[in-house]
Amino acid sequence: MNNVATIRSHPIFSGLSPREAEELAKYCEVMVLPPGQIIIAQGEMSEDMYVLFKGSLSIRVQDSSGEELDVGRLSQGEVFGEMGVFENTARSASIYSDTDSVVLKIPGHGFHQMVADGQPAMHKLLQYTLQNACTRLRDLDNRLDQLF
Amino acid sequence: MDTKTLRQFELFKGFPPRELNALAGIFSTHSVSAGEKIITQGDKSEGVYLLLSGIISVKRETRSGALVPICNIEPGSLFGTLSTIDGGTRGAHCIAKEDVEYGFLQTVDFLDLIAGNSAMALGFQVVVIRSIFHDIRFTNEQLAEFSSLAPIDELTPIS
Repeated sequence: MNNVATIRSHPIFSGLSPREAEELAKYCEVMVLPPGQIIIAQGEMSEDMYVLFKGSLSIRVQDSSGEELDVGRLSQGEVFGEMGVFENTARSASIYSDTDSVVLKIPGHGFHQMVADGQPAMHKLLQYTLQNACTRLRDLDNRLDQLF
Repeated sequence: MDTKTLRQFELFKGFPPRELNALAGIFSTHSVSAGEKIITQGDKSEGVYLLLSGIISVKRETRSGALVPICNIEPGSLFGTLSTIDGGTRGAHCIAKEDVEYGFLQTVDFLDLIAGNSAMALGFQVVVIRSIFHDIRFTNEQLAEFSSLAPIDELTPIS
């Protein structure tokens, strides 16, 4: 698989030059997963973040008896696991592949190095994450406002 | 603003020293006395704040005018970011609980930084996202707490 072409096929990274995408590819791992593969395990400490390029993933949370419950889906294009890199907290849910999937894994140490280097790929990823985080917070704030 | 002060805050953990130095130079430093209001709910944003020392009380005003205490802001916290980014109005009053010192970054400089692509700008974007994720987690908890309570106007006396 051509990792540079895969990276540039994602809307976040589509504006990167081949050379800039190559810089990102150096720090990342493209994971090709069959259905049923675990990507993130609830409770583990990790700073890695991920971008789903192809396929569908399920989000599962363990209840008090230890049984895993399906609580949501991730679809093509979504970024996940980003709380790990920004907050360094334990994973709050497990993520499994539902179908054949392609995921870009950005290791925490690579992320921090690329930020320190001012890599264009990180600029795009941070802009996307910031915009999503603001939308989420404004939505929660509006819901809180309804209670006042 | 003093770089040494910034370096001790968790939010700036991992920020490269040279870039942190440059960032510290962009903030202006201000002091207010206990009881003074720093942010007024409903106002448009003029910039973002970084609390350097002292404690700030965050209070939300209900439709009937009651003030509901939400939380305290502690040194090392960035606040006032959301309305500065999305152009919305301030969601709560921020009042100095004791004498405080804070750093201030005007909207135009803040927006330049969070759109920039220098190493310093990217480092600051990480700080802002970290701060917003913290607020998301906190607001989620507040929603869960307030949703299970009596109507909020019954919780505190009108002041």
